[in-house]
Amino acid sequence: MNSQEPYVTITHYKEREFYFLNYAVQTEDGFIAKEIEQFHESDKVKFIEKIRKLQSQYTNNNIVSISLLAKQFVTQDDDKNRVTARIFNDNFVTQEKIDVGDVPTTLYFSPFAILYEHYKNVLSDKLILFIGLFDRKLFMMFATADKIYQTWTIGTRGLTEKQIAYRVYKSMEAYYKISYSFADHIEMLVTDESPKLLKVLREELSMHIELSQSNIHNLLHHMASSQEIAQSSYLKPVKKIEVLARVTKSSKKEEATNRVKQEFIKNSNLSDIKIENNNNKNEGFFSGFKSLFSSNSSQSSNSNPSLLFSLLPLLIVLGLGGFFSIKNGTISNQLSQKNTQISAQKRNLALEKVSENLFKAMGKNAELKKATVSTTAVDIKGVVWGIEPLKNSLNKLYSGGKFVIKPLENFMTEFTFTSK
Amino acid sequence: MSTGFKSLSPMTKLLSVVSLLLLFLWVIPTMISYYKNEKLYNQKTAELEKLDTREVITDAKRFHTEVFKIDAETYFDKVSVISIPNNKYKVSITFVKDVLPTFHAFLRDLSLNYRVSVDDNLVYEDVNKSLQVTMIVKPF
Repeated sequence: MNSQEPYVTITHYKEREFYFLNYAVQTEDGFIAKEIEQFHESDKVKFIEKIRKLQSQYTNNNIVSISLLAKQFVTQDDDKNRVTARIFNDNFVTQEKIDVGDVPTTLYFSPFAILYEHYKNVLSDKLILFIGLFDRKLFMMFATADKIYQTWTIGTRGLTEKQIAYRVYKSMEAYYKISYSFADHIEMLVTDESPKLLKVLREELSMHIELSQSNIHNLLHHMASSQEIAQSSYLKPVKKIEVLARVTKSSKKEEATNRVKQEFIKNSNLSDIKIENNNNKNEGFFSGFKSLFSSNSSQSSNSNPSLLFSLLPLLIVLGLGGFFSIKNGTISNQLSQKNTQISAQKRNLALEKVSENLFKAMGKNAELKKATVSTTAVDIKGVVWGIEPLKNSLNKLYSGGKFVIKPLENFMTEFTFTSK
Repeated sequence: MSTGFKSLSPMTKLLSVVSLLLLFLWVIPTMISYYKNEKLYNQKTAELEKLDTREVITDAKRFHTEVFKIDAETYFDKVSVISIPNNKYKVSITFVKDVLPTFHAFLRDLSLNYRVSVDDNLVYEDVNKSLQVTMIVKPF
């Protein structure tokens, strides 16, 4: 790897049916992020191609992603059979699997690791509840400077702000029941603006909540910005550890083993584990297929061929019906979206026209202070210099409107106009 | 033919009847509905194309606050997007008055560039000699 080449972090994550992609050039003074791109999941091939293109363009890179799985928690032990990442001391984020699919990824972080990294400098003897809002999920973590005591993940999709606050409160209550201690204050990191949620949380919990805001890409660029931050907290693949154990056992020379171990840690990445997992999956799939096949062959010797033959039309009908039901569902959704878009577009055109006409009517005769404009009515307030021309042009647009003038103390004249 | 049908096993007969019922009561009506919807969809696409005056035609993006803000900030001085109840967002855009035509063009193409509809209510306000427009948008 050429040390002269810039180090680039390529970040991606999936939110609902969209992939979001960004990249940043890392410098000594921080990273310089480029424009965020979004890809619909139907454009996954394009999305992966873009990642590959960036990879070839910047050979010194890391592809970084975030785990938005709801089932992840912090434990005190490193579970060798699961995907884990050490946050600090004896605290490990643990989850069942790595869910990057076939999207290239070299570093994969848990929101809990990001929360720790973001707030590690404010940790103290006091118990603090750290909340991260990532993709409409609240990742909650009770921690002091010594350790992370408890974590919870709460989904917020479809809930009102008050319901979310109630759930946060319930989590705090549940924690109190197991530890007899209450969080001293709350720190919250949001990746999407949600001032109402913060307001409701403050009201409902009657607690001091500090807020900070950053988007997921920037948090990930930071996580991958240096060897120290990334190496300690990215989620490590499970299988690699097993392979390493085997190498250690089979090797007779301790020195050689250590060398292999170091080499592995250096090179471990999610692409590797993905391939191994796929192999395992294939093995499972083939064994399942084999058993299915063997049972089929034993069954086929007993089955009546005419019955199978008579099932064929039913299967064809079901297949055809299923196919058209799915297609019809898709086209119905698209049609309803198109209808909404057309009515939205017509309204936008009408609003644009009304607004343009209004400003044209005022021209140099008046200066606007405030106007409420809709496609059916207008309500304007401003300062007028040419009363008659303004009145005429507004009445031309909205006949029968109420035009009122009022002298101001500074020798100016205020006007208000309300359409009928 | 009826002799042939009678000679079939009861299970085969039952399956044939179920298949026919499914074909006439479910598959064919679904197919007809699909082709009707497809035709309607093509008509609506053509209708929308007539309303589209953009020079570069692209598909509408899903509304995402960050992406929207970054896009809008290339044209205007200040853009804020705040989430409000009922899955709506309050968008405030501030710009110097000379940029008003750009805002009008932005408004005209908004629902073509993003999957959002604008509530029928715009509020223009003079803020320190700049114009601030507040509108409520709802993603669809």
